[in-house]
Amino acid sequence: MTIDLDLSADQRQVVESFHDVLTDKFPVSRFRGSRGGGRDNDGLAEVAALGWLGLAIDEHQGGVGLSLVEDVLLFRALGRHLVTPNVMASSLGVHVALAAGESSLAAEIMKGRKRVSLGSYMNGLGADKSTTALALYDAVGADFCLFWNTMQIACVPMDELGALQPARCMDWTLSLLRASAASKYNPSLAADAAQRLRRRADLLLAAQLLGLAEGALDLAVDYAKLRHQFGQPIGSFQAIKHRCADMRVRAKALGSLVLMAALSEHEGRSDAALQIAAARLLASRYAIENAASGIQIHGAMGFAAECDAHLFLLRAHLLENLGSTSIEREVEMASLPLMRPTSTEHVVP
Amino acid sequence: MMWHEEYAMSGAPSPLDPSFVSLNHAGPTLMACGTEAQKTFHLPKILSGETLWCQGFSEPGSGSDLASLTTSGRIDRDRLVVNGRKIWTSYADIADYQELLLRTEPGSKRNQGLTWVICDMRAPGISVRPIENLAGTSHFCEVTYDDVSIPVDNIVGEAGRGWSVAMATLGFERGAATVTLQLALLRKIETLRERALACGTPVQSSLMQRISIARSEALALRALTYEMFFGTAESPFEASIVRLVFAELSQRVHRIAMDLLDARNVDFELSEPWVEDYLESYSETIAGGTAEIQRNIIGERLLGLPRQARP
Repeated sequence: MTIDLDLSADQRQVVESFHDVLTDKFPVSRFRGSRGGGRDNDGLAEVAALGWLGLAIDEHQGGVGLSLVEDVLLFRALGRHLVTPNVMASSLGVHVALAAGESSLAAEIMKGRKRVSLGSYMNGLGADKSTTALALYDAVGADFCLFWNTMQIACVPMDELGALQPARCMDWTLSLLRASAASKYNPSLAADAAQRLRRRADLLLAAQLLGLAEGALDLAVDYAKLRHQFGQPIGSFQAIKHRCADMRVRAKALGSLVLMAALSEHEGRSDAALQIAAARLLASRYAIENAASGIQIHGAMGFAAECDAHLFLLRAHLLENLGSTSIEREVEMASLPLMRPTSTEHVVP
Repeated sequence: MMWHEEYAMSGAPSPLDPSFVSLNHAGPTLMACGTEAQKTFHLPKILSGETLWCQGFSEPGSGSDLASLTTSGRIDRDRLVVNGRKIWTSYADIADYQELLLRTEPGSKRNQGLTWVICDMRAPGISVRPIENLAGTSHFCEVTYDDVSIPVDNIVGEAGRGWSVAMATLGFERGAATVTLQLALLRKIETLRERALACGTPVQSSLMQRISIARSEALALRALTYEMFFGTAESPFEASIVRLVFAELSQRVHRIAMDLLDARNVDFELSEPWVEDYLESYSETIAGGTAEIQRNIIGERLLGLPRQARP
């Protein structure tokens, strides 16, 4: 078995088509002058109409029939364009519904007729451990909520969640609801299916965070070429140039790792879990570091709400703790054994 | 690539030994740019390990700014007469040949008028002074040339076009051997992780956190390197990313080792080979282009940021 880290001509074309559509329909500049969450909620319907929610679903089940690798490339592009995380929730919701044997529900979600929002456990410092609190993003009008932790992944009807309470979202481009998760909900997925879907969720999340790291980089580099001080573009100064170089290094290294992890998972290799854990761990760190650098490179403008640079930071923080906390990720990475590919699946040129 | 992976995972010695330059610099450069006679004479000896090579690019006055080099080669009929000094030349004291970059057109500027030539290290007029490094060992040297005579047949590529040959040489430096070094580093991380856990380091500790991050970054570096070798690199300058990530990760990993060793880290024998490797790792962000130069390359060549004003 070989690992070909080069995208095929077809894959390149698919990526180009993602970017063409997203640049047209979801330019990052669309948030300017429109403070207030939920603005992108309708984006889900547009994405569903494009068939992207079933990109990696077999054609006989109503999907496009591409693989996990194309799905990862899609979510990288969606991350870069700050598209609502409900797209990830719905895409994963289709897979969860199919794994649970609910194919008609899967079809409804794929067509955008049933909406799935994304939930995140709020169990950090000072949290009340007696109840499980969930943060729900862009969940107004959603039918289901998808969330996962290090053990399980679940797609729960919204009416099974406790009382919903609107709250102010740090990422102001999204709305936020607080919920106490229903303790009666008992996930019915088989353990191996749940593990597979958790890995998929972590991978798609890492891909979105990669997109954020890349988006922040591009914005900062453009600005460093444009903005003049002391009679020259600020990008000619090493202090700025080296910051940009570090952003590029992080984006590139993470990009290679996410692709490697996707290929390993797609091909069922023994090292897939380790590759995904590494990608997931670095993705949160690098997305935030790149977003923070992007703000600094923009100077005072970067601190202003009208500048897009900070949107990458807000979204990175919103996504960083989905599915696992940084401590859980670090503990996992310290514990997983290093898998060497067996000789039959050795990487060869 | 498979050979390099197996070599590294077997725990064999570091490839940064005296054969590194012959196998990873000189050999590939001769294959790409040498004459038939040069290839026939040198390549078998390089492969068998019969001859060792050293590099002669940097000078006391020309480090990061390599194109400012001044060591001269005056062409006198069928000979080059060489005068000047080269420095940081690893293993010059035991090498048989040197890849020598000279200014052969008097008055030429920057990267014009340079020539890449094979220098016999036993030629009269060459003197070698070993330089002790901060780890207390001395594998690098200063080489002085006093009217050293080299046949013009030893010129590799065209006279006056040595810059492009030298760039090819430096390109090979980023070749498959880096995989061996990377995997050796991954092995070290695994050793540190196992030792830290074995001696009761809590999984939720700053030390294990640093190991987890280093481990993830080593895997990212491996993915990056595979992509560079087996994919279509967007640009040859992406090698600078691999070089920079490796250099800085290597230093972080050795710092973790120093923390894990705690007070034993001052005792060379008790901390074999970590302390020596730790001290050696300071060369990683300097040798073969400093981290600052790599960031300039990434910024200017990959991101298209404007260059600084240069002479």
